Amino acid sequence: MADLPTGSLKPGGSNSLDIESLISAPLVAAATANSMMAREQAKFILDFCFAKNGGNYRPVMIAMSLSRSELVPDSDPNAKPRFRQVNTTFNLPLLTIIPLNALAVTKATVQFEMEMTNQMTETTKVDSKSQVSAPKLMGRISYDSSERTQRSGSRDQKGSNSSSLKVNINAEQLPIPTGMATILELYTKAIHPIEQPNGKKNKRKNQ
Amino acid sequence: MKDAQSIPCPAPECSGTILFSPYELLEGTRFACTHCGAAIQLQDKESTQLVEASMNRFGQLKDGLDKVKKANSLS
Repeated sequence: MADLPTGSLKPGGSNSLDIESLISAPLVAAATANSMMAREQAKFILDFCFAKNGGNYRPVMIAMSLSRSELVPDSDPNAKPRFRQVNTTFNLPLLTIIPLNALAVTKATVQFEMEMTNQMTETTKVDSKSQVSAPKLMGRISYDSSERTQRSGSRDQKGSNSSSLKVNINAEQLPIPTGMATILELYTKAIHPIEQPNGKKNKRKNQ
Repeated sequence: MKDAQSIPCPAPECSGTILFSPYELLEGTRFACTHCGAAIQLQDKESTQLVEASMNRFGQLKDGLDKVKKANSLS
């Protein structure tokens, strides 16, 4: 029978440490957060940036004013240059001013540095039926390990098993979806200013 | 500038870009084109209210995300 007066150090106090879930947990959290935000963002866009009209959605427009100075032409070439203020009103889809891409997990960096050490000293009696159940490191990720075993005589066995594990995981957000980018680009390009006379306000036209 | 956005300058024959912050637009700030100097601002109260309501909701969504990030040590 085996006699195991063993002094052992178990990493983390548990042999069944699931390294895979330890590493993946933050990434799953990031993905879940992004997924939740995508749903909320879609709802936000439909609720605030579009108005439902029958079966169609129309963009909610906001009115903005553009003011700039223009040089007033003068027939006298020696006259001092004069400028006049020109105000222009233009409508802009509300969607284009909301910083939508801010609603996402932009970066998730997970860095693990683990050192797993397992030392054991075994004293076995020579017995053809003896069985040694040595402590084992358990993990689902492969690691480099070095094992040194010394045998002194034929009966005593000393062993040490150490492993170091470094994991670097970087997750970056995907760019804004192509469909949304196209809509934003179309809206952005479709800004048509309507010039109005000085000091006279136009009534806003909702599209 | 918080949550800076940009639009192409609507001034005729200008190819510049106007950078702006929706939060500062709500405070009445004007943002000028770096190319031609034309400045934009919200035109009327109705537009201001629309932007304010949507930015408030947007802020709530961001706060929710920040809590998730903090809880999971994400950036």
